[in-house]
Amino acid sequence: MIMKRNLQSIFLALLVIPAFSASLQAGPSKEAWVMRFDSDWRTAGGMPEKAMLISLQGLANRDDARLYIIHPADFQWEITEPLYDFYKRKHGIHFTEVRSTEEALRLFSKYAKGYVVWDQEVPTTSNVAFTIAGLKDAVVVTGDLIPLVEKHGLKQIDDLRGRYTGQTHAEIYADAIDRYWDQCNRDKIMLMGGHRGRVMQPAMADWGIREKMFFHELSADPEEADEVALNRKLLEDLNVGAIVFGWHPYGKDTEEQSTMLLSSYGLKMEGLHNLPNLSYNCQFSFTEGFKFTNNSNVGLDEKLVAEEKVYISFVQSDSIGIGVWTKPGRGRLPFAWQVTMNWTDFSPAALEYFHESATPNDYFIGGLSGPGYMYPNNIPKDRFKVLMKEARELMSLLDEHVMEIMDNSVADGNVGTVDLWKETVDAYYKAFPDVIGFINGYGPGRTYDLRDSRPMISYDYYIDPKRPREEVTADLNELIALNAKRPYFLLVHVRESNDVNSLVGVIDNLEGPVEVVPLDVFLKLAASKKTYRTRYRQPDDPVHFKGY
Amino acid sequence: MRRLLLTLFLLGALIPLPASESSSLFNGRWELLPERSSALDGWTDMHLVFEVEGDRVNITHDMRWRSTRVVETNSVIAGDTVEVPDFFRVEQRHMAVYPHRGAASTVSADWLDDDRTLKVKANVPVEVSQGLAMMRIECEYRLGVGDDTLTVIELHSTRNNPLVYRFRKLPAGDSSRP
Repeated sequence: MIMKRNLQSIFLALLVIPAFSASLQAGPSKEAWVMRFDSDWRTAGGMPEKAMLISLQGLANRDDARLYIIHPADFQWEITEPLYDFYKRKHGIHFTEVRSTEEALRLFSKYAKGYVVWDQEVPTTSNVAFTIAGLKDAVVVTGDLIPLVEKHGLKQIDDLRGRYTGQTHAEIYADAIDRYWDQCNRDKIMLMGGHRGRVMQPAMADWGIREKMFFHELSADPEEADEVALNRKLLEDLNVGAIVFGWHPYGKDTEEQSTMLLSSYGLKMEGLHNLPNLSYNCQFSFTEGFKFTNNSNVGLDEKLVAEEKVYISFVQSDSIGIGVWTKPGRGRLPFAWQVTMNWTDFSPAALEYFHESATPNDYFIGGLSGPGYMYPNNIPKDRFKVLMKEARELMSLLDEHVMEIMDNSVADGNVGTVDLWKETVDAYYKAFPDVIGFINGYGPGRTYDLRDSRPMISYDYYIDPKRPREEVTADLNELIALNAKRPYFLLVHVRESNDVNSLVGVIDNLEGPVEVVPLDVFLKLAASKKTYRTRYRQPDDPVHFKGY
Repeated sequence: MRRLLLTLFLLGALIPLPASESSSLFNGRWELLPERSSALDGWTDMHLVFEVEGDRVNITHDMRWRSTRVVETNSVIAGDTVEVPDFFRVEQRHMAVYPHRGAASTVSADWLDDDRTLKVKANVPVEVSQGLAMMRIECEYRLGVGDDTLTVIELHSTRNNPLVYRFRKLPAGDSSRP
């Protein structure tokens, strides 16, 4: 009996030791390749070739981090170049540049089993092709690219040309669901919308292919009832806690409709449709010894007392990385930056890069509304608690102490009602007992509260990047005049792409006394003297989108 | 005789006088010229529609933001002060300054400059993060030389810079809308 147990132990040890040593050696390869893209995403121009390369990237990066893509500095996700430097510097990656599509195929076609052809006459077939690519290990091509991939030994797996001619999106995706959905990942799905028509930017497709996701661009607009029904079916079939990657399709529905729909299933959104390199980024963890340390300006238990003045604080949401992080001027003013917290799973290096490159004036906050982008007024009660526990844990890991909330479900873009029902506010106060406070809105809002030492403050102003700075100055001075009690707490949302330098000039011309303070200080001061009126969303507040 | 005079006087008070030649030139639909106007945040387009009937002037704001269209009319009386419920103010919608729903604004109006300028003064209650506040708004609607342009100069008691909106008159029968 003892002998048998010993043999069993030895056998188990033999099984465990290689696995353990493999885990010690685990980590992405130190040798990788990099490719530079230009800005041509025209469907009749550079997009088909890019789509093919991105599908190749998804396959090449399936079991190791092999191919990284650098986009021009004006690409919406602006940090591909700085992050490339980060991988070299902090992870010791040696990159070899891939200078042509031909070379990319020569290097990486071995990771593909064939190709699938999408129909340029029916652009949404690129999404069906991406789905097939993930499931069948294929690259996606247009007819023009067939000779090129065949030259590298790839055989046709499927050809969508003509299959969906004349069909509606609902018909096309109903067919795709019948054919492929039961083989796809149920923890992740790719809403590959965004740009449509003459320009398409499926730069996130590598990630969807790597993870065998179902790709679609089904509408969330109730006017498109047949598409909404299919969209709902997909969302209902996802596993609890699943993530919707990508972005809503421009011109078919609105961000508000799309985010409201998935929030009503308690699902998290992780945009954009053109967020690149996740198939590469996901394979790295934080560098050894790295620990997030936020630039806190006040102790968590410290009490501050507001003076008789105007306090202004600036916040940039829209997820750090598509804003002005790399633009001149950052660091001249205290700024809070909303971090997409679940990048701890998908892009740890990006988070580490942001923390490493932060100036003392950059303060990170959690959001948006939870462990992903969601509209909390619409999250089912039974999911809210679980999601916020996840958010709390991520905030703890990231040393973040302010939660940013946004619910645009009834707004119309960046105007309209962004307020929270009282029961939503109650739920946040219960879920986050240890935060310094909450901020709310995107455009201006009027949800305000203070419970114990935790204020909830909405944006009083949204800076449109195109608004002339003298008008911004006049607007802020008008708010200061209208809110005559002191202290006045003026929270400002700085839309992505605003120029920080221009805000310095605005501040110089405000009528005060005015003090610009970091967000944590702002909230501590707002807790000390409540001059704002408690308010929640009211039943008769304006509603643009009436929901489902 | 006295009774006849009194009757005529009362009739005169009740029957609206026709608009003067100048003030009637305001009648019609005016289209905003965004490139010559103050930045209009939260709205992408604006038309003004004037109806001058004697002393009464109806100023309709026909506003557009994406798929949202708002059509609101402020009715004022030249030479008089009236209470106007839910007076429409052209909001800069990126500011947390909201209409105080259901509240009345005190509004007076006067024709100036040989009836080529309509001046409207309004005390408008608004809601801000600290509660309710009052904003005094003075608007001058000035008919341009040639009678086919309109300049609106808007002053707020709470703002040191004027807002200036310039419009061109749309031909009668023009069906364009914001």
